[in-house]
Amino acid sequence: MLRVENLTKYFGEVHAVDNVSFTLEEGGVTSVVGPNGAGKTTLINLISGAIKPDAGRIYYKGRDITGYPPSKISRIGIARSFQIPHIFLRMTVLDNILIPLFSRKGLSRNLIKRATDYPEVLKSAEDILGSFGLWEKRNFLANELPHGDRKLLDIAMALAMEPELVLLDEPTSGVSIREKSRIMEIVEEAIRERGVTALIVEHDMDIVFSYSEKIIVMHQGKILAMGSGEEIKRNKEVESILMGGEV
Amino acid sequence: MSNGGGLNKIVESLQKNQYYFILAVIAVLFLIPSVSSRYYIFLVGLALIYSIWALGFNILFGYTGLLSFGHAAYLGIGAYTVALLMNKLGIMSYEVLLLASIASSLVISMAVGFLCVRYTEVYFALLTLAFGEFFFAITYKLYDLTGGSDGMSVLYPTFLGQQMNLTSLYYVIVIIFIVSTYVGWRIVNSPFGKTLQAIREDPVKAEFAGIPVKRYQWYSFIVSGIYSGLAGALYAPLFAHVVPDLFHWTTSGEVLFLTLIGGYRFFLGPVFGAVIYAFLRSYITAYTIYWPLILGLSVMIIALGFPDGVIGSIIRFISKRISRR
Ligand SMILES: Nc1ncnc2c1ncn2[C@@H]1O[C@H](COP(=O)(O)OP(=O)(O)OP(=O)(O)O)[C@@H](O)[C@H]1O
Ligand SMILES: [Mg+2]
Repeated sequence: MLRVENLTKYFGEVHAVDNVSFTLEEGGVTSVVGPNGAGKTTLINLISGAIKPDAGRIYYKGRDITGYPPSKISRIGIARSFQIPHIFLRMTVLDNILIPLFSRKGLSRNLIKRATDYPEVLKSAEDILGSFGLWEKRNFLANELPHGDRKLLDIAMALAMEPELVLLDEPTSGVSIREKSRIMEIVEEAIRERGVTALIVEHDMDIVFSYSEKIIVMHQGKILAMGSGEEIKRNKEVESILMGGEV
Repeated sequence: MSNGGGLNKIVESLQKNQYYFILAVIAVLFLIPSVSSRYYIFLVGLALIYSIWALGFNILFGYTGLLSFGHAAYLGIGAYTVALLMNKLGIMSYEVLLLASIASSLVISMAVGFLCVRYTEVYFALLTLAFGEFFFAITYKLYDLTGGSDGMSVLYPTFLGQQMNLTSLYYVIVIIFIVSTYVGWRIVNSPFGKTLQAIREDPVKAEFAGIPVKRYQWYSFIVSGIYSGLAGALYAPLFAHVVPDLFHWTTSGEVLFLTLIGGYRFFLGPVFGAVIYAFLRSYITAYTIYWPLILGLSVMIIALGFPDGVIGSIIRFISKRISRR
């Protein structure tokens, strides 16, 4: 589904992503782990079109999408969420989810009909916000939401693009340990229910081992190891880096 | 969250009575010519023209988050389109003149907007300012065509074959004001309008929601330009004269000031600002020559003390009273 070849991005002297190659098969959850600064966010930024690589290519379903703008990539089936949630703060939760839904359905240009006069779009909004426990809060302004809900809304907006592949950058960062598992359960169910393939960056190894079919370990911009949870657990080098680098 | 709840309650109660309120305002607007002097007909007409202009300005500023510092240009283009077609080609039909102003402001704002949206924030503002001054300079220089600093006089045009006068022009202004306010309201509540607001809130996220941000900013610029051009086409015959100052940055400053006075976060904020501005200016300039000083001071007070403008402050005040109960 996704093939990344020799992907490289330098920031001055920093080799943020360094000659990275891998393929993702359709279905399931793949996790990307690695210490702070390993290049995980940069990898997501590259695939989602937020930044352009210095070298290497990205293929999605056989199509070379290297250099596509984010608006195009998100419409052909790759959506993403952010480590620090990006939501439309002074708009309601409902409006937040309507924006990607309109965009997905090609309705964003419609300038006379009321945004709330689209029953089928509202139905999708209810469906998605419902899965994320946010439907009851649809009339709140997004800036009234607590951090955990903001993270969920950010991810819900990505899924509203009806992607086939979703890239989630640390869905549980900045939330309490107790809330982490709640958020991961919601996210996992939402993803699996919709049959979306997921690439998830995550720090918490317990979460990683319990939710992912495949794990990619990054360190200093390079892929150190790739494999199932069992294979990664057995890898001594990975263990030392993850333990040493964990914050 | 109580704040959101309080605000919602006020919005709800306003919504319940909104039709009566709107009908009352429309009735008053239509009654003005039969109860007031020529001066007040002129003044209210002017306030409504400012309103149309500011509503358009605020689609770009308040809704899309782009500060244009050259919005006088499109007002000027609308006004000069009327003046030029009337003086040079002898076209007197207001129907034609209005359509021509819409067309010219559409074309110019498409061209200028296309270049300006490539830049962000202060560079965007500077570029719009530069274009405004460019139009100022050429109307000033092209003496043979535009009359240079003398400007051009504008007569009352004809409408549906009838010779217009102040009263009939006033009615046309009222009708265009009502229609453009209604259309503006529909726009900001449409998927397109919501998309503009999303771009204002977080252009990065909007891009990842599949929205080509620059293109939508451009669309917003064009809509805003058409509103301004239309306002200019109404302004020319009301003032009976056009001068290059219409394009000047100080004129661009006016639309920003009155939008801030009214409250850019509220759809009707610019309308309130326009009415307050038009009346205040006419009274204050009648009594003192210090109008620019007073204007400057009031903008400072509003910027520092009432960032949500008049409407915002009123709503906040009422919502506090309600939530205290
Ligand atoms: N825009 C940028 N400009 C300069 N350097 C950057 C930029 N983005 C990332 N870097 C650097 O690239 C390296 C990789 O950063 P990245 O954010 O991808 O790491 P990460 O694995 O996501 O880390 P974390 O776990 O802290 O989120 C870091 O050294 C970082 O400082
Ligand atoms: Mg990161």
